[in-house]
Amino acid sequence: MKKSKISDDLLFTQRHFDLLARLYKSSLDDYGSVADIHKAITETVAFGLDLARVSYWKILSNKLVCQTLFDASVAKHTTDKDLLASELPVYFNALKEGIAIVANDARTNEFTKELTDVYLIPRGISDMLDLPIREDGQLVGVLCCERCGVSQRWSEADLAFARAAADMMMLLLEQNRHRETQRETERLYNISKRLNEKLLDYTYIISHNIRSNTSNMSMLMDLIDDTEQYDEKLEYLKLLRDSSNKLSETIHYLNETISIQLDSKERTVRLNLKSALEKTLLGVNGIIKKEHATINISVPPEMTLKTIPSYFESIMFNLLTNAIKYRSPDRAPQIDISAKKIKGKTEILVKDNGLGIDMVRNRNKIFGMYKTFHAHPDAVGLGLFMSKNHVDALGGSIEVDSTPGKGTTFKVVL
Amino acid sequence: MKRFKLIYLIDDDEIFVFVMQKLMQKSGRFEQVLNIANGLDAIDVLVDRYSREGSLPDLIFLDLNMPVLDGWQFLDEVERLPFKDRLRIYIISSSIDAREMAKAKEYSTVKRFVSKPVTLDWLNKID
Repeated sequence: MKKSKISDDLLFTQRHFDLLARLYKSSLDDYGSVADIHKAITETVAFGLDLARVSYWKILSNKLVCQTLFDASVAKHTTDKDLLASELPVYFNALKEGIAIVANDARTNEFTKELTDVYLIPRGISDMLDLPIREDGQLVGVLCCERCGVSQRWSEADLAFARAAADMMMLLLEQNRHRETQRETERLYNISKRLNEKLLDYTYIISHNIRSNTSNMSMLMDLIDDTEQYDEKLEYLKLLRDSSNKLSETIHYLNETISIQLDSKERTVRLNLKSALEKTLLGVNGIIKKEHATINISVPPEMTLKTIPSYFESIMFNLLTNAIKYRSPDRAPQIDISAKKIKGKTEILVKDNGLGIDMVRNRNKIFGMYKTFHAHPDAVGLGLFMSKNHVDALGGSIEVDSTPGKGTTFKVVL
Repeated sequence: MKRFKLIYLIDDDEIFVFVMQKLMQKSGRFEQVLNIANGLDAIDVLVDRYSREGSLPDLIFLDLNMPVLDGWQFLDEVERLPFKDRLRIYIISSSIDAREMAKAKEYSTVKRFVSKPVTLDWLNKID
């Protein structure tokens, strides 16, 4: 069949078709990142139009920033210096309004001649074909097709090809934004779901702890109502007072846990680890003496740690008091504190020779709220829960390893 | 009214234990009440008294939140006992968490999940 010629200018070569077909068939999943999209489009246009340089620039409020420059002479992606918007008012206006700037002989073209000294001459560029890239109708970037050496006229087909590639780029970038929004939504959804679960747990724990006191109180009041004996009433009244005190205590502890959940705005500072540990030791001096505990700190004197001091002290205070409180009845408490730097993080080990914790039974509840592991009268079950919260707030981790009867080692990574 | 000879009251809350003992005494249906303060001791007592005297409690009142072995861990241990089907356990807890109530149904040994407070009326009706 004889080809119907609209215009010589509008003929695509087979290579044009092949390149565009490959682009059209690709999907967002073929590109790992936005940079991959930029690279694929600039390469396609450079091959299709046989150009020396094709680049993509992001338009910021006051400048153009090169995202990638495909240099066909070496077949490599590189980049170029920023261009200031204030020096190129006419060029910028043209980008904002048109579908393309078609500059045959860019150094004299009215829209691109501003670029002559700063850009065109140093790079030996003769012709420019610039396609604005828009996002929701707003100009966000420009795809620059540049011919070096002898000036030639841009054909209708050149423009059509470059525009097609640019449109494909807009489509891919749009899909990518959509994908990112979706991922962000998913991420936020998961965070809020987790927080919700945590809050629900917290609510049940609060409810449980308040109810355990109020139900005792209500049972005691039933007993008071049911008896005519004055002495018996007095006995129940005394217990009612105890319950009421316990309720106040429960609420006091609750306030403490709430304040660590909300109070993470404190400033981080750089501490000398050894002196920070020694300062914490001063706070537990009383029980160290009373229980005849030995504490060894083997931390390099120059080691520092960026942290929130009150959190750090609270974590160490808890670990130390636990190590002494749950001492073995057979031997004097000995606690070894050591620290090392691993991959920019500080790993602190607190090792004791105390009672130990049954890890098989308690692995999952060790940092839980109101969980206690020994029949110790002073155990409330908040120490490790609070420590874990503090470590979380500092973006760190805390692990435990223990052998019943031998001792426990806590590893804190900050 | 049916009477119960031996009851294990597994709970670490001293005030609750005192009040329960009073109420059970007032009810008059409960003869011997043995308080055990955590799940591990309770397993030990159960196994020990069964092997020595062949005696099992008619009723077990079990708290959930306890040190050493909590109520759930106690129930898991009970699953391994050869005489577990002869035990009648009432969970008596301050919890009103629906997830815990559902979990309690998974144990054939658990007769009911009771939220504190306990009343004399309930103790009189228990069968």
